[in-house]
Amino acid sequence: MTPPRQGYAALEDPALVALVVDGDGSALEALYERYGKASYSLARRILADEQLAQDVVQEVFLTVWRDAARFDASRGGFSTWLLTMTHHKSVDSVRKEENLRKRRTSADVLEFTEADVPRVEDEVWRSMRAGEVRTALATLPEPQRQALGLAYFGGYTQREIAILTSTPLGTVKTRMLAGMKRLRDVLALPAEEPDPRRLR
Amino acid sequence: MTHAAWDELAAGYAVNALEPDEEETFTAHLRGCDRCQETLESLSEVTAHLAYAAEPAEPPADLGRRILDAAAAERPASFGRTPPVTPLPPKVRRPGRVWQPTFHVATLAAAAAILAVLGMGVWNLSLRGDGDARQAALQRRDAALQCLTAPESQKFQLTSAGGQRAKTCLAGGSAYLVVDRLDRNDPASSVYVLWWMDAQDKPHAIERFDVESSGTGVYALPLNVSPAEVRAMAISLEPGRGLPAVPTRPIASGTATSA
Repeated sequence: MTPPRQGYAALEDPALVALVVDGDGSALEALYERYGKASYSLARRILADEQLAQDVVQEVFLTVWRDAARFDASRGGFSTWLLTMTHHKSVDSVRKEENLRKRRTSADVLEFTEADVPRVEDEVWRSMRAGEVRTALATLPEPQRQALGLAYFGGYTQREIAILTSTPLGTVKTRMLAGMKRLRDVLALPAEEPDPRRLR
Repeated sequence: MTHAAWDELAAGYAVNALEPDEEETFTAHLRGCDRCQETLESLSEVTAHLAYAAEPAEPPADLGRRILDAAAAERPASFGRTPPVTPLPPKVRRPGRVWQPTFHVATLAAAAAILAVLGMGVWNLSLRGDGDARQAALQRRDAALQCLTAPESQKFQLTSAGGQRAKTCLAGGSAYLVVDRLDRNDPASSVYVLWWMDAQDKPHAIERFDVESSGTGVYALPLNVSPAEVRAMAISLEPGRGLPAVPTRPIASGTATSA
Protein backbone atom coordinates (compact mmCIF):
# COMPACT_ATOMS: atom_id res chain seq x y z
CA MET A 1 0.00 0.00 0.00
CA THR A 2 1.33 3.47 -0.76
CA PRO A 3 0.04 6.74 0.62
CA PRO A 4 -1.77 8.82 -1.96
CA ARG A 5 0.24 11.90 -2.84
CA GLN A 6 -2.41 14.23 -1.48
CA GLY A 7 -2.25 12.26 1.78
CA TYR A 8 0.93 14.05 2.75
CA ALA A 9 -0.88 17.36 2.98
CA ALA A 10 -3.14 15.90 5.66
CA LEU A 11 -0.25 14.86 7.89
CA GLU A 12 0.76 16.95 10.85
CA ASP A 13 4.24 18.44 11.01
CA PRO A 14 5.84 15.89 13.36
CA ALA A 15 4.70 13.05 11.11
CA LEU A 16 6.17 14.75 8.05
CA VAL A 17 9.40 15.37 9.91
CA ALA A 18 9.54 11.68 10.86
CA LEU A 19 9.19 10.81 7.19
CA VAL A 20 11.93 13.27 6.24
CA VAL A 21 14.21 11.63 8.79
CA ASP A 22 13.58 8.37 6.95
CA GLY A 23 14.50 9.97 3.63
CA ASP A 24 11.07 10.66 2.19
CA GLY A 25 11.43 13.51 -0.28
CA SER A 26 7.71 13.82 -0.72
CA ALA A 27 7.43 14.72 2.96
CA LEU A 28 10.03 17.45 2.45
CA GLU A 29 8.02 18.66 -0.50
CA ALA A 30 4.91 18.78 1.67
CA LEU A 31 6.74 20.83 4.31
CA TYR A 32 7.95 23.20 1.61
CA GLU A 33 4.43 23.62 0.26
CA ARG A 34 3.27 24.36 3.80
CA TYR A 35 6.00 26.77 4.90
CA GLY A 36 7.99 27.73 1.82
CA LYS A 37 6.08 30.93 1.27
CA ALA A 38 6.34 32.05 4.90
CA SER A 39 10.05 31.30 4.88
CA TYR A 40 10.60 33.10 1.58
CA SER A 41 8.53 36.10 2.65
CA LEU A 42 10.61 36.53 5.79
CA ALA A 43 13.92 36.11 3.98
CA ARG A 44 12.77 38.50 1.27
CA ARG A 45 11.77 41.04 3.87
CA ILE A 46 15.11 40.92 5.68
CA LEU A 47 17.34 40.69 2.62
CA ALA A 48 15.35 42.83 0.17
CA ASP A 49 16.94 40.72 -2.53
CA GLU A 50 15.15 37.91 -4.36
CA GLN A 51 18.20 35.82 -5.20
CA LEU A 52 19.63 35.95 -1.70
CA ALA A 53 16.20 35.12 -0.28
CA GLN A 54 15.97 32.08 -2.53
CA ASP A 55 19.43 30.97 -1.40
CA VAL A 56 18.40 31.26 2.23
CA VAL A 57 15.17 29.30 1.75
CA GLN A 58 17.03 26.60 -0.11
CA GLU A 59 19.61 26.35 2.66
CA VAL A 60 16.85 26.23 5.29
CA PHE A 61 15.03 23.32 3.67
CA LEU A 62 18.26 21.49 2.97
CA THR A 63 19.05 21.82 6.66
CA VAL A 64 15.66 20.27 7.40
CA TRP A 65 16.53 17.46 5.01
CA ARG A 66 19.92 16.89 6.67
CA ASP A 67 19.02 17.46 10.29
CA ALA A 68 15.31 16.75 10.70
CA ALA A 69 16.17 14.38 13.55
CA ARG A 70 17.33 17.38 15.54
CA PHE A 71 13.81 18.79 15.60
CA ASP A 72 12.41 18.32 19.11
CA ALA A 73 8.64 18.68 19.12
CA SER A 74 8.59 19.00 22.90
CA ARG A 75 10.50 22.30 22.64
CA GLY A 76 8.22 24.09 20.20
CA GLY A 77 6.43 23.75 16.91
CA PHE A 78 8.06 22.96 13.62
CA SER A 79 7.05 26.35 12.21
CA THR A 80 8.91 28.06 15.08
CA TRP A 81 11.99 25.97 14.36
CA LEU A 82 11.85 26.61 10.63
CA LEU A 83 11.15 30.33 10.82
CA THR A 84 13.78 30.85 13.50
CA MET A 85 16.26 29.11 11.22
CA THR A 86 15.12 31.25 8.30
CA HIS A 87 15.61 34.37 10.38
CA HIS A 88 19.08 33.42 11.55
CA LYS A 89 20.29 32.47 8.09
CA SER A 90 18.81 35.65 6.62
CA VAL A 91 20.52 37.79 9.24
CA ASP A 92 23.80 35.99 8.67
CA SER A 93 23.40 36.66 4.97
CA VAL A 94 22.51 40.32 5.35
CA ARG A 95 25.54 40.84 7.56
CA LYS A 96 27.76 39.44 4.84
CA GLU A 97 26.19 41.83 2.37
CA GLU A 98 26.89 45.11 4.10
CA ASN A 99 25.95 47.09 1.01
CA LEU A 100 22.42 45.80 1.34
CA ARG A 101 22.01 47.43 4.69
CA LYS A 102 23.68 50.61 3.61
CA ARG A 103 20.99 51.01 0.96
CA ARG A 104 18.22 50.71 3.52
CA THR A 105 17.25 53.31 6.05
CA SER A 106 15.79 52.53 9.44
CA ALA A 107 12.45 53.67 8.13
CA ASP A 108 12.60 51.12 5.29
CA VAL A 109 13.24 48.35 7.76
CA LEU A 110 10.37 49.31 10.02
CA GLU A 111 7.73 50.07 7.41
CA PHE A 112 5.15 47.46 6.53
CA THR A 113 2.80 47.57 3.62
CA GLU A 114 -0.67 46.10 3.90
CA ALA A 115 -0.99 42.63 2.53
CA ASP A 116 -3.03 42.08 -0.58
CA VAL A 117 -6.53 40.81 -0.15
CA PRO A 118 -6.17 37.04 0.06
CA ARG A 119 -7.16 35.40 -3.19
CA VAL A 120 -7.49 31.89 -1.98
CA GLU A 121 -8.92 30.40 1.16
CA ASP A 122 -5.55 29.06 2.24
CA GLU A 123 -4.23 32.60 2.58
CA VAL A 124 -6.88 33.74 5.01
CA TRP A 125 -5.30 32.36 8.15
CA ARG A 126 -1.91 33.79 7.34
CA SER A 127 -3.42 37.15 6.45
CA MET A 128 -5.27 37.24 9.75
CA ARG A 129 -2.09 36.35 11.63
CA ALA A 130 -0.14 39.03 9.77
CA GLY A 131 -2.78 41.58 10.73
CA GLU A 132 -2.65 40.51 14.36
CA VAL A 133 1.13 40.70 14.49
CA ARG A 134 1.24 44.13 12.87
CA THR A 135 -1.46 45.39 15.19
CA ALA A 136 0.48 43.99 18.13
CA LEU A 137 3.64 45.70 16.90
CA ALA A 138 1.74 48.96 16.64
CA THR A 139 0.81 48.77 20.32
CA LEU A 140 4.46 48.84 21.35
CA PRO A 141 5.98 52.14 22.43
CA GLU A 142 7.97 53.49 19.49
CA PRO A 143 11.41 52.90 21.07
CA GLN A 144 10.58 49.23 21.72
CA ARG A 145 9.16 48.76 18.23
CA GLN A 146 12.22 50.40 16.74
CA ALA A 147 14.68 48.27 18.68
CA LEU A 148 12.84 45.05 17.91
CA GLY A 149 12.23 45.89 14.28
CA LEU A 150 15.81 46.90 13.57
CA ALA A 151 17.05 43.68 15.12
CA TYR A 152 14.52 41.28 13.66
CA PHE A 153 13.89 42.71 10.21
CA GLY A 154 17.10 44.70 9.83
CA GLY A 155 19.57 42.16 11.14
CA TYR A 156 21.27 44.73 13.36
CA THR A 157 22.93 43.71 16.61
CA GLN A 158 21.97 45.38 19.85
CA ARG A 159 25.24 47.28 19.81
CA GLU A 160 24.65 48.52 16.26
CA ILE A 161 21.13 49.60 17.22
CA ALA A 162 22.54 51.53 20.16
CA ILE A 163 24.82 53.42 17.79
CA LEU A 164 22.16 53.91 15.10
CA THR A 165 19.65 55.30 17.56
CA SER A 166 22.09 57.11 19.86
CA THR A 167 20.80 55.12 22.79
CA PRO A 168 22.77 53.47 25.60
CA LEU A 169 23.29 49.75 24.95
CA GLY A 170 21.66 48.79 28.24
CA THR A 171 18.54 50.70 27.26
CA VAL A 172 18.36 48.94 23.91
CA LYS A 173 18.55 45.57 25.64
CA THR A 174 15.87 46.51 28.13
CA ARG A 175 13.59 47.83 25.40
CA MET A 176 14.01 44.72 23.30
CA LEU A 177 13.09 42.37 26.13
CA ALA A 178 10.18 44.56 27.21
CA GLY A 179 8.90 44.68 23.65
CA MET A 180 9.05 40.93 23.24
CA LYS A 181 7.26 40.34 26.52
CA ARG A 182 4.58 42.79 25.56
CA LEU A 183 4.13 41.17 22.17
CA ARG A 184 3.80 37.80 23.84
CA ASP A 185 1.00 39.18 26.01
CA VAL A 186 -0.77 41.07 23.23
CA LEU A 187 -0.62 38.14 20.84
CA ALA A 188 -1.83 35.86 23.65
CA LEU A 189 0.19 33.10 22.09
CA PRO A 190 -1.57 29.78 22.50
CA ALA A 191 0.03 26.98 24.44
CA GLU A 192 -0.31 24.86 21.32
CA GLU A 193 0.72 25.62 17.81
CA PRO A 194 -2.03 26.77 15.46
CA ASP A 195 -3.05 24.17 12.96
CA PRO A 196 -0.07 24.16 10.60
CA ARG A 197 -2.24 23.17 7.66
CA ARG A 198 -3.65 26.70 7.86
CA LEU A 199 -0.22 28.28 7.57
CA ARG A 200 0.39 27.69 3.93
CA MET B 1 24.95 38.17 36.42
CA THR B 2 21.32 38.56 37.49
CA HIS B 3 18.50 36.71 35.81
CA ALA B 4 17.15 40.00 34.54
CA ALA B 5 20.42 40.40 32.67
CA TRP B 6 20.24 36.83 31.36
CA ASP B 7 16.69 37.53 30.17
CA GLU B 8 17.96 40.50 28.19
CA LEU B 9 20.60 38.33 26.60
CA ALA B 10 17.93 35.72 25.83
CA ALA B 11 15.91 38.39 24.02
CA GLY B 12 18.94 39.41 21.98
CA TYR B 13 19.77 35.79 21.26
CA ALA B 14 16.21 35.07 20.10
CA VAL B 15 16.55 37.70 17.39
CA ASN B 16 20.18 36.89 16.64
CA ALA B 17 21.23 40.36 17.78
CA LEU B 18 24.03 39.59 20.22
CA GLU B 19 27.65 40.35 19.60
CA PRO B 20 29.83 37.22 19.27
CA ASP B 21 31.26 37.48 22.79
CA GLU B 22 27.80 37.86 24.34
CA GLU B 23 26.46 34.99 22.30
CA GLU B 24 29.27 32.76 23.50
CA THR B 25 28.62 33.74 27.11
CA PHE B 26 24.90 33.12 26.78
CA THR B 27 25.12 29.76 25.00
CA ALA B 28 27.57 28.53 27.64
CA HIS B 29 25.13 29.56 30.37
CA LEU B 30 22.15 28.18 28.48
CA ARG B 31 23.44 24.62 28.57
CA GLY B 32 23.11 24.50 32.33
CA CYS B 33 20.12 26.75 32.98
CA ASP B 34 16.61 25.34 32.56
CA ARG B 35 15.09 28.70 33.36
CA CYS B 36 16.90 30.45 30.52
CA GLN B 37 16.05 27.60 28.15
CA GLU B 38 12.38 28.09 28.93
CA THR B 39 12.70 31.85 28.57
CA LEU B 40 14.40 31.43 25.22
CA GLU B 41 11.76 28.99 23.95
CA SER B 42 9.04 31.41 24.95
CA LEU B 43 10.75 34.39 23.29
CA SER B 44 11.51 32.35 20.17
CA GLU B 45 7.79 31.69 19.86
CA VAL B 46 7.26 35.45 19.79
CA THR B 47 9.93 36.03 17.18
CA ALA B 48 8.59 33.24 14.98
CA HIS B 49 5.26 35.06 14.94
CA LEU B 50 7.00 38.26 13.91
CA ALA B 51 7.77 36.49 10.65
CA TYR B 52 4.12 36.81 9.68
CA ALA B 53 4.38 40.59 9.72
CA ALA B 54 6.53 40.35 6.61
CA GLU B 55 4.62 41.11 3.44
CA PRO B 56 3.68 37.87 1.69
CA ALA B 57 6.05 37.25 -1.20
CA GLU B 58 5.53 34.46 -3.70
CA PRO B 59 8.64 32.37 -4.18
CA PRO B 60 9.61 31.53 -7.76
CA ALA B 61 7.65 28.60 -9.09
CA ASP B 62 10.74 26.48 -9.57
CA LEU B 63 12.29 27.08 -6.15
CA GLY B 64 10.62 24.07 -4.57
CA ARG B 65 11.82 21.86 -7.40
CA ARG B 66 15.37 23.15 -7.09
CA ILE B 67 15.36 22.47 -3.37
CA LEU B 68 14.09 18.94 -3.88
CA ASP B 69 16.69 18.25 -6.53
CA ALA B 70 19.49 19.59 -4.34
CA ALA B 71 18.24 17.51 -1.42
CA ALA B 72 18.15 14.38 -3.56
CA ALA B 73 21.67 15.06 -4.78
CA GLU B 74 22.86 15.20 -1.18
CA ARG B 75 21.17 12.06 0.06
CA PRO B 76 20.28 9.92 -2.92
CA ALA B 77 20.67 6.59 -1.10
CA SER B 78 18.81 7.44 2.03
CA PHE B 79 16.31 4.62 1.86
CA GLY B 80 18.57 2.17 3.64
CA ARG B 81 16.03 1.15 6.28
CA THR B 82 13.23 0.70 3.78
CA PRO B 83 12.47 -2.30 1.59
CA PRO B 84 14.38 -2.64 -1.69
CA VAL B 85 13.70 0.03 -4.24
CA THR B 86 12.18 -0.82 -7.57
CA PRO B 87 13.26 2.00 -9.89
CA LEU B 88 10.89 3.34 -12.45
CA PRO B 89 11.77 2.72 -16.10
CA PRO B 90 14.13 5.46 -17.33
CA LYS B 91 11.64 6.86 -19.80
CA VAL B 92 9.22 7.59 -16.97
CA ARG B 93 11.69 8.77 -14.40
CA ARG B 94 11.81 12.49 -14.01
CA PRO B 95 15.33 13.91 -14.33
CA GLY B 96 16.95 14.91 -11.11
CA ARG B 97 14.23 13.55 -8.86
CA VAL B 98 16.15 10.76 -7.20
CA TRP B 99 13.33 10.02 -4.81
CA GLN B 100 10.78 9.40 -7.45
CA PRO B 101 10.78 5.78 -6.26
CA THR B 102 9.51 6.96 -2.89
CA PHE B 103 6.11 5.65 -3.72
CA HIS B 104 7.65 2.28 -4.50
CA VAL B 105 9.34 2.01 -1.13
CA ALA B 106 6.48 3.37 0.81
CA THR B 107 5.88 0.59 3.28
CA LEU B 108 7.56 2.63 5.95
CA ALA B 109 6.02 5.83 4.68
CA ALA B 110 2.59 4.26 4.71
CA ALA B 111 3.12 3.02 8.25
CA ALA B 112 4.29 6.45 9.31
CA ALA B 113 1.31 8.05 7.62
CA ILE B 114 -1.05 5.77 9.47
CA LEU B 115 0.85 6.40 12.68
CA ALA B 116 0.46 10.10 12.15
CA VAL B 117 -3.24 9.86 11.52
CA LEU B 118 -3.53 7.77 14.65
CA GLY B 119 -1.55 10.31 16.61
CA MET B 120 1.56 8.15 16.87
CA GLY B 121 3.89 10.22 14.74
CA VAL B 122 5.79 11.84 17.58
CA TRP B 123 6.01 8.58 19.45
CA ASN B 124 7.44 6.97 16.36
CA LEU B 125 10.15 9.62 16.31
CA SER B 126 11.33 8.46 19.73
CA LEU B 127 11.99 4.95 18.44
CA ARG B 128 15.59 5.60 17.55
CA GLY B 129 18.35 3.20 18.39
CA ASP B 130 18.45 -0.55 18.70
CA GLY B 131 17.84 -3.14 21.35
CA ASP B 132 15.16 -5.34 22.80
CA ALA B 133 13.13 -2.43 24.12
CA ARG B 134 12.90 -0.93 20.67
CA GLN B 135 11.96 -4.27 19.16
CA ALA B 136 9.25 -4.77 21.76
CA ALA B 137 7.98 -1.26 21.15
CA LEU B 138 7.82 -1.91 17.41
CA GLN B 139 5.87 -5.12 18.02
CA ARG B 140 3.40 -3.24 20.23
CA ARG B 141 3.08 -0.59 17.57
CA ASP B 142 2.43 -3.13 14.83
CA ALA B 143 -0.14 -4.99 16.94
CA ALA B 144 -1.86 -1.69 17.80
CA LEU B 145 -1.85 -0.68 14.14
CA GLN B 146 -3.34 -4.00 13.12
CA CYS B 147 -6.10 -3.57 15.68
CA LEU B 148 -6.79 0.07 14.86
CA THR B 149 -7.00 -0.56 11.15
CA ALA B 150 -9.24 -3.64 11.47
CA PRO B 151 -12.84 -2.64 10.70
CA GLU B 152 -14.33 -5.12 13.14
CA SER B 153 -12.31 -4.18 16.22
CA GLN B 154 -13.78 -2.00 18.92
CA LYS B 155 -12.12 1.40 19.26
CA PHE B 156 -12.44 4.27 21.71
CA GLN B 157 -11.33 7.87 21.42
CA LEU B 158 -10.49 9.22 24.86
CA THR B 159 -10.36 12.98 25.23
CA SER B 160 -10.44 15.62 27.93
CA ALA B 161 -11.54 19.24 28.05
CA GLY B 162 -7.89 20.15 28.47
CA GLY B 163 -6.91 18.64 25.14
CA GLN B 164 -5.36 15.43 26.42
CA ARG B 165 -6.13 12.51 24.20
CA ALA B 166 -5.55 8.84 23.53
CA LYS B 167 -7.04 5.97 21.55
CA THR B 168 -7.73 2.42 22.61
CA CYS B 169 -8.49 -0.63 20.57
CA LEU B 170 -9.64 -3.97 21.98
CA ALA B 171 -8.66 -7.27 20.39
CA GLY B 172 -7.33 -10.70 21.28
CA GLY B 173 -7.38 -10.24 25.03
CA SER B 174 -5.45 -7.00 24.84
CA ALA B 175 -6.32 -3.37 25.15
CA TYR B 176 -3.99 -1.42 22.89
CA LEU B 177 -3.56 2.09 24.16
CA VAL B 178 -2.11 4.78 21.91
CA VAL B 179 -1.36 7.92 23.87
CA ASP B 180 -1.20 10.94 21.64
CA ARG B 181 -1.04 13.66 24.25
CA LEU B 182 -0.92 13.12 28.00
CA ASP B 183 1.14 14.97 30.57
CA ARG B 184 4.17 13.12 31.83
CA ASN B 185 3.55 11.54 35.25
CA ASP B 186 6.10 11.26 38.01
CA PRO B 187 6.62 7.49 38.34
CA ALA B 188 7.80 7.95 41.93
CA SER B 189 4.50 9.35 43.10
CA SER B 190 1.79 8.68 40.54
CA VAL B 191 0.61 6.34 37.84
CA TYR B 192 -1.96 6.40 35.06
CA VAL B 193 -4.66 3.71 35.00
CA LEU B 194 -6.78 2.58 32.06
CA TRP B 195 -10.41 1.71 32.92
CA TRP B 196 -13.35 0.11 31.17
CA MET B 197 -16.99 0.85 32.04
CA ASP B 198 -19.75 -1.70 31.89
CA ALA B 199 -23.36 -1.14 30.87
CA GLN B 200 -24.13 0.28 34.32
CA ASP B 201 -21.14 2.63 34.05
CA LYS B 202 -19.30 0.80 36.78
CA PRO B 203 -15.53 1.29 36.28
CA HIS B 204 -13.11 -1.63 36.18
CA ALA B 205 -9.37 -1.12 36.29
CA ILE B 206 -7.40 -2.69 33.45
CA GLU B 207 -3.78 -1.81 34.17
CA ARG B 208 -1.35 0.91 35.14
CA PHE B 209 1.00 2.74 32.80
CA ASP B 210 3.47 5.65 32.86
CA VAL B 211 3.79 8.47 30.33
CA GLU B 212 7.23 9.85 29.55
CA SER B 213 8.18 13.38 28.66
CA SER B 214 7.21 13.04 25.01
CA GLY B 215 3.56 12.76 26.12
CA THR B 216 3.11 9.84 23.77
CA GLY B 217 3.29 6.07 23.97
CA VAL B 218 1.91 2.77 22.76
CA TYR B 219 0.90 0.14 25.31
CA ALA B 220 -0.52 -3.37 25.18
CA LEU B 221 -2.47 -4.00 28.39
CA PRO B 222 -4.20 -7.28 29.38
CA LEU B 223 -7.95 -7.22 28.90
CA ASN B 224 -9.95 -9.79 30.86
CA VAL B 225 -13.37 -8.99 29.48
CA SER B 226 -15.14 -9.41 26.17
CA PRO B 227 -14.95 -6.19 24.14
CA ALA B 228 -18.72 -6.44 23.68
CA GLU B 229 -19.19 -5.73 27.38
CA VAL B 230 -17.17 -2.53 27.26
CA ARG B 231 -19.44 0.50 26.97
CA ALA B 232 -16.85 3.19 27.57
CA MET B 233 -13.23 3.63 28.59
CA ALA B 234 -11.34 6.15 30.69
CA ILE B 235 -7.89 7.11 31.93
CA SER B 236 -7.20 8.35 35.45
CA LEU B 237 -4.12 9.68 37.16
CA GLU B 238 -3.67 8.01 40.53
CA PRO B 239 -1.52 9.03 43.49
CA GLY B 240 0.99 6.38 44.48
CA ARG B 241 1.50 3.22 42.46
CA GLY B 242 -1.54 1.20 43.50
CA LEU B 243 -4.52 0.05 41.49
CA PRO B 244 -7.61 1.58 43.15
CA ALA B 245 -11.17 0.25 43.03
CA VAL B 246 -12.50 3.44 41.51
CA PRO B 247 -10.78 6.24 39.58
CA THR B 248 -9.44 9.00 41.81
CA ARG B 249 -8.90 11.64 39.15
CA PRO B 250 -10.34 10.87 35.71
CA ILE B 251 -8.25 12.49 32.97
CA ALA B 252 -9.95 11.46 29.74
CA SER B 253 -12.83 9.27 28.67
CA GLY B 254 -14.86 8.26 25.65
CA THR B 255 -17.28 5.81 24.16
CA ALA B 256 -16.82 3.53 21.18
CA THR B 257 -16.14 5.13 17.82
CA SER B 258 -17.08 3.83 14.43
CA ALA B 259 -13.67 4.62 12.90
